[in-house]
Amino acid sequence: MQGGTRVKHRSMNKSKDLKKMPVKKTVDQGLKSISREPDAYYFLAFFFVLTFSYFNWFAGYLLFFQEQQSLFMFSGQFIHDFLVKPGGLLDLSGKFLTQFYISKFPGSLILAVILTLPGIILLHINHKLKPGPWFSPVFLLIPPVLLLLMQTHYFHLMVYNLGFLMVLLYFLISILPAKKLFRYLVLALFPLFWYLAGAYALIFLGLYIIYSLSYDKGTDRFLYSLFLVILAFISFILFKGVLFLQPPDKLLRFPLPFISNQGHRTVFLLVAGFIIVYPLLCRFTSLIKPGRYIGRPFKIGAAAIVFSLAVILLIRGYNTQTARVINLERLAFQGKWEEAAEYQEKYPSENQIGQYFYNIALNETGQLCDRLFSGRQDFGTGSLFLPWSNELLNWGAYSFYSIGLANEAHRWAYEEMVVYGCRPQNIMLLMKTNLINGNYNMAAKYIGILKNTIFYRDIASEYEKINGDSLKIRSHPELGMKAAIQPLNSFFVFLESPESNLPLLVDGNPRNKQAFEYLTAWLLLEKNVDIAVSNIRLMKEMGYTRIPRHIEEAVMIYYNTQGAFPDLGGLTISSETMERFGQYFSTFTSARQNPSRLKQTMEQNFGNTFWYYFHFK
Amino acid sequence: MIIKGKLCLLLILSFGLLFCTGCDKEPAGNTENTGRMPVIAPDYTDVTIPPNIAPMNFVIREAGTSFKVTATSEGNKYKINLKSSDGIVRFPGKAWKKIIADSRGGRITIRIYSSGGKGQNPKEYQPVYMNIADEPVDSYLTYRLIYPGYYSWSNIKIVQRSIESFEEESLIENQILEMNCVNCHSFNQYDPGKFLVHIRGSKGGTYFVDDDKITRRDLKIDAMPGGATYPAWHPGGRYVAFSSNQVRQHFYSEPSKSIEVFDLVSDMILFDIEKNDIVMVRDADTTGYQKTFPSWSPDGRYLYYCRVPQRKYTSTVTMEEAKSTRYDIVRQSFEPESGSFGESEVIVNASGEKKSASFPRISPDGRFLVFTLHDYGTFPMWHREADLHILDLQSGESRKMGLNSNETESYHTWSSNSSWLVFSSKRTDGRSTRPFLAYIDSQGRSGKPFILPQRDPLRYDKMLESLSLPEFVTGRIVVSPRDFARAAKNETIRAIPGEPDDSIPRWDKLKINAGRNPGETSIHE
Repeated sequence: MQGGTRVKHRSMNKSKDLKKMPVKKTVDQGLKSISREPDAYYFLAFFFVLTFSYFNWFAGYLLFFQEQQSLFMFSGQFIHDFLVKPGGLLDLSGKFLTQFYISKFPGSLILAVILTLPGIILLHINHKLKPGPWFSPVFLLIPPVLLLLMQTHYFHLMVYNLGFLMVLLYFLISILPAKKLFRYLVLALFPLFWYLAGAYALIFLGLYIIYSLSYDKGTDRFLYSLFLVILAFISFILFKGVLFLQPPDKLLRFPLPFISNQGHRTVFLLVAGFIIVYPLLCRFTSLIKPGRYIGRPFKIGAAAIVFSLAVILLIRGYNTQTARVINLERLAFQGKWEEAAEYQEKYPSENQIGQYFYNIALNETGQLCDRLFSGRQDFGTGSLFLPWSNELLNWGAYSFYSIGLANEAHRWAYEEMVVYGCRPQNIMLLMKTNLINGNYNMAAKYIGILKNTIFYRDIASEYEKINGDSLKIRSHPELGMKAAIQPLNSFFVFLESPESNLPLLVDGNPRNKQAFEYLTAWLLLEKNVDIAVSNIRLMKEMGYTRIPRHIEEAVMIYYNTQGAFPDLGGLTISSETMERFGQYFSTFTSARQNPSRLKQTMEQNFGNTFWYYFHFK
Repeated sequence: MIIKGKLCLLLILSFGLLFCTGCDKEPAGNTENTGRMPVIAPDYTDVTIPPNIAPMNFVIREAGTSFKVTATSEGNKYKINLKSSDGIVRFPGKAWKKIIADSRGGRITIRIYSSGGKGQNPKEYQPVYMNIADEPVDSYLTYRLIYPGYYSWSNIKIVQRSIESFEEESLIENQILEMNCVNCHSFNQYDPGKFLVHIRGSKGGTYFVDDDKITRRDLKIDAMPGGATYPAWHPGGRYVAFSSNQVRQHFYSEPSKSIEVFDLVSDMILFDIEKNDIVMVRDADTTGYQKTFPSWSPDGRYLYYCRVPQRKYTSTVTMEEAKSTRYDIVRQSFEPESGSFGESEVIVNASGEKKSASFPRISPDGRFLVFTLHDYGTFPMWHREADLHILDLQSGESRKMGLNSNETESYHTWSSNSSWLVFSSKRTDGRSTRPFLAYIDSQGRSGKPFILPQRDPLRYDKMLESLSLPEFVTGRIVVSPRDFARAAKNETIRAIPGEPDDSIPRWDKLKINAGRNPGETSIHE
């Protein structure tokens, strides 16, 4: 530490101090290292805090999203599938760590540690490469910062960070030995490294070649590189032709982060390129002699620039809409429907998925036709059912689950499992739909899968207690309700026009209010007032004691055009709605005088009504 | 030195004697006889097994902290003693071979004891018997490992499994075939060196394996409604009959059903390997029929298949139409020398019984025809009521087989010696198909079926995938996944119409190809 006390080594009495020596030596070396490069540690510490804070308080939604992408199971078959391909163990490690994202604090901590580690490793690498002292602390910040920026993309998984970490670690190990023989021995482990780290081995290959050409002398600079290239070639041939059943392009690409996002790809190329040419940069900067008084200010200034850029890019990279959708998704998956509805009304999502979950939240709480227009409805009926596609598989099941079509919800969840593997939500949904349908043996399998995890075994145990007992299932608050609204009639599910299932569901099971409200919501969003109000006559028999607000609003529109009320089946229109319609009418009449402000005026006063949607959307 | 050596030998022998006699002894303490059969899984009690089967490992599903199992051969010459703390029973391979060889024609007796802990009397159960048939079964089984899903697929493997051991290896893995779909592997007379398999997708084609040579063929002519689908090798090896199907799926709303697979249209073709040509299988009956599931008589003189009158061409089918679609089994005479067909005759009038038949399979000795019977439709795999029936071709008598369960039974294959049947059953969990084997005696009666044994008897409990389309093979197949990957790089050899008329499009493909459901691909065509 600059200006502090230097730790002195006293001469060692081997017999007395042998036990103490390793720890003390490490501490001494560590302190020495800090004393040499205190700024580097300060920068890294600051980076750690920045990263932790960002994910714990701002971008926690990313942790949730990634935790949901896979289910880590402690089972032989699950682990075996990762062992049979290069890079599989890296992927497995990434998934192991990702499971802790289930909670923001440990998730942010893990991410902060993993993203900071490359900097610490580079610090040790710098002891060998000896870059210019002005630049060293800043250089080791760049890969962590770039990785942090990549991490702002929700598909940037932990495995990608671990890959770069492995490259740097192996590189550090490979440059430590002074003797040639040991260096060759370490390089001879390259095939093993490729098996462990997958295609990240190719980044190491480039890095080492540059290092050898820059730092080794004489023919050694070519011999080491040649040795490595030959090993890489032999490894590729062996992996492709003998050891593994991976196609060549997978051997050369997995698990590198080829995400279909231009910005992410650019940063990936930057960080990979920076690491590969790092020895050259160190060599070049080592030729620049620092001035006595401007060295430290330069370091701090450069670091400040890097951090400032990072913060600016983090702020710019933070996508509010993405955060809202994922937060909504989280509330929906946790079954916090009322919270989800309130969240959407407070922080409106402009995304189809967000509005879809809002509608499901309202349906689950029996408020769809009361509150549909209290939230944004930008996609019409497109936010009631999602179109079939691989990208939407993990969400599309929920509308069918909500309206009581467990078979179709099962199909979506099953297809998602086939395409993407076991994920927490698809396995949960498969478990629930099989319990609802009485397929207890299959339910037991999915319960077994969840019991092989750390964070879902408790909930699995709860469902295990009721598996096989139809009485307990019928009295379960969620499953019982869903079982009660399953179709009693048999029909082929309409796939291209999922709304066509709704009348059949209602006809087949009059207790299915969820399907009825979904059908009515569909008609309202289509502005099909006539048919919407024609179904009111069925409502009293279905158990309704009052007409939901938006249906009343549709009745008033019908009345306004037809001059008579439709058959209300014994129910009545509330005086509040009638009064409000009067207000709507008079406001409309007066606001019409100012056409440029008409829509705005009506939205301010009546934006949460069907009337506004009907006339202005 | 000599004395020391003798002492050592004595000690070793004494220890060994003590060990063996200790193993032979019944559990210490008063044994409580439960008077009932133990619950074991898989249920291997009273099954009839071939003399060359792998160890029939199982798990004891009784309460207890330790279990003792003794298996004794018929002649009492061999005994296996095992202990287990978790109830899992794994017979050592070599010891199993000895015990089963000594029990051929007789039975193995398995006694199970469970203990609950200190101070508790061990429990004894009634012995479990496994009957050993004289007739061996073919040494290998091939099947497809796939998720029993809807439209999507991921990893698909065709696997060969030694029935005599637990060795399992992939023949084809779609991960090196650009994740194409792989289906309908079919062997020529159980020959491991002669078989075909369909691959659908970017590496599409029908791949014919002839020992170490793999030929990629395109079996499609204009007259066919779809690609070549369900295959059946003619016993002579020169011809292969295929159905050609346009397959669709519908999904049920009701909880008790899942999927209805049906054919929009289907027809039958004959592929001549030597001439590389395809002819449509026709007969004089002018009624249009949908034809599917071909199968040959052992002498190659008859082609059996299922048929139903052609429905009107629409891109979908209503519930009423689906439930009124009932297939019969017919056969048409065939002249292998000329490659020509005669008239068709109904063999199983399932529709007359308000049922539908599928998968006719004749035993190699020509005596019996086993088929699947279900309420309606063409694809029994998703029909819970689907059961196996057996028709005595000599007497004409047909009956439901005793090996059925309350869940789906379907897709069956005879062993090459007509003594064994392997079939797909969903009885373990209602969704995933598992291969069950059953002994068939000379009168067509079946022994109690048993599930293909696994090294880990809990494997089926954990698996979500199906082991579907089980086919017996008489030996190990030597081609590997990489051989198929290499063959997939070759150009396809396109089949030609065998008759001029067959180059004219017969199907209104535009009308029929319209209206696929979202996510549905033509994987079956």
